[in-house]
Amino acid sequence: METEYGPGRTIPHPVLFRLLDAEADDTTIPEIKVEHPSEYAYYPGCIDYYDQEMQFSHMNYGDTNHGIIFDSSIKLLRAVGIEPMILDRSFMKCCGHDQLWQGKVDVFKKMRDYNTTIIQKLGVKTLVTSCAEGYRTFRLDYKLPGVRVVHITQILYERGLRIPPQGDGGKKIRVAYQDPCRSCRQMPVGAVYEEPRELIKRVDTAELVELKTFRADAQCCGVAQMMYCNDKTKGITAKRMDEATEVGADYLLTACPKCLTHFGCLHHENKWKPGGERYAYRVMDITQFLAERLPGDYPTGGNVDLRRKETPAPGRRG
Amino acid sequence: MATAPTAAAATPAATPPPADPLLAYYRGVRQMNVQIAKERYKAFYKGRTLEFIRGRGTIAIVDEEVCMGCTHCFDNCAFEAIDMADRKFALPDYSYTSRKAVIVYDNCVGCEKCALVCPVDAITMAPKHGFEMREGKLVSTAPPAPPAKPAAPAPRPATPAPASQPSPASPVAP
Repeated sequence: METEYGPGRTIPHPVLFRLLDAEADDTTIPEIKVEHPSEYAYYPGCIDYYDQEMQFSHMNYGDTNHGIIFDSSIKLLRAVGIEPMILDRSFMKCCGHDQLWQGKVDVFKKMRDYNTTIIQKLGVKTLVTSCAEGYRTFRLDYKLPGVRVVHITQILYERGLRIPPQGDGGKKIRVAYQDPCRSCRQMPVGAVYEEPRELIKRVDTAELVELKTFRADAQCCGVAQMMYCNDKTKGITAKRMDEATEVGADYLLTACPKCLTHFGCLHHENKWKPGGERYAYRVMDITQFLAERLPGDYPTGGNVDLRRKETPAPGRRG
Repeated sequence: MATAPTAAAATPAATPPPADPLLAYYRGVRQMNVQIAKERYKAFYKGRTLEFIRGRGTIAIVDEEVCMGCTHCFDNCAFEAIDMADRKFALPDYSYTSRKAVIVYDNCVGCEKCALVCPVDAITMAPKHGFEMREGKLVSTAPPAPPAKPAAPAPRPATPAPASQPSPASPVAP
């Protein structure tokens, strides 16, 4: 099939790409008024766009909740005593990871220059991202002198996130962690291997289990930057999810919204026939897993979208 | 506060939400982000909507090369005209199943709903057997039979006239 990005199946539909490209074209710097300036900045990335993509044109009707990553990250950061300024999408652009890796270097350069200007203007000292791709892009592909770019698991580990005892002395839940390629094996410096594992171990009811391939050898989730979805990529995703089934995981965690998307899709797809679920575990982001273990409500209000209170049931809706 | 995301987005630091200004800031930003994503996304999504022929004479066709088995059409079909078929794929050390949508032609009414929801445009609408596209319109290729009947009564009122004509003429002719 011919698309505007060449032959093949582009997932998601180029809507998201067109949207991000169009954002990049407008390089006028708006007047920024941040209500809570801080030297810690949190960049949520495109998670709200992914949510829209899921609901409108992707396949799992928003079964995979990306927006909760924002809520969980704020809750976790506040738990370790950081009250960050939020680099929200009204004045920031996409970090440009997808554009760079799709070869649209000119679009990426526009985004990079714009974002760099704003980050330096706001006087950010520590930039926290909750996304593996954002971490890599800001750390390696941007030039941000004087700004420390950290993945959220790194700063939580540094600050000594404490998870209160869960109280349940029964069977431990088995938690598997998928290493996203962008924050792990594609990082020549500052690869995030230890921190997420250490954080999972701090949950007293959780037991960390390793998948068949892990750390630097970890297998990909199947699709890079949401480019294609076909039988081959689905094979890789299914293989990875089968590994989690083999080790008997109750949770499959990841730190990358793309991995979350693709795992979530296949997870949803396997629910189409009730009773025949192949993957009897939950797929979620590591921030959501940790934030669920903390007491209290989400400071950002949790699921802002009311339709997200409960995930939609699979099956016919015609 | 969560019940009115639009109102809260318009006024990020509204006073009725929590007294803590920081909390209000976080909530406001979160809701504003969602709202921005929704507005920007919707504008582009509308532009994407494709046009398909639809109606009595059309039927959905699945391109199996493109279909990735997301079950989106299956969930949305109102006539149970779509089923999912398992296809096995074997690799040297691993085999897995992928699904493909299959149209149940007896049930398909050509409503184009599946074609609209398909995220990869694997479904297109095509004319059924007996119909074809002519100058952008869907027409039946077997017109002679139905129009023949309306055509037959049309001359009939005219037949009395020729019949009556000969009658006055008949006296002349002999």
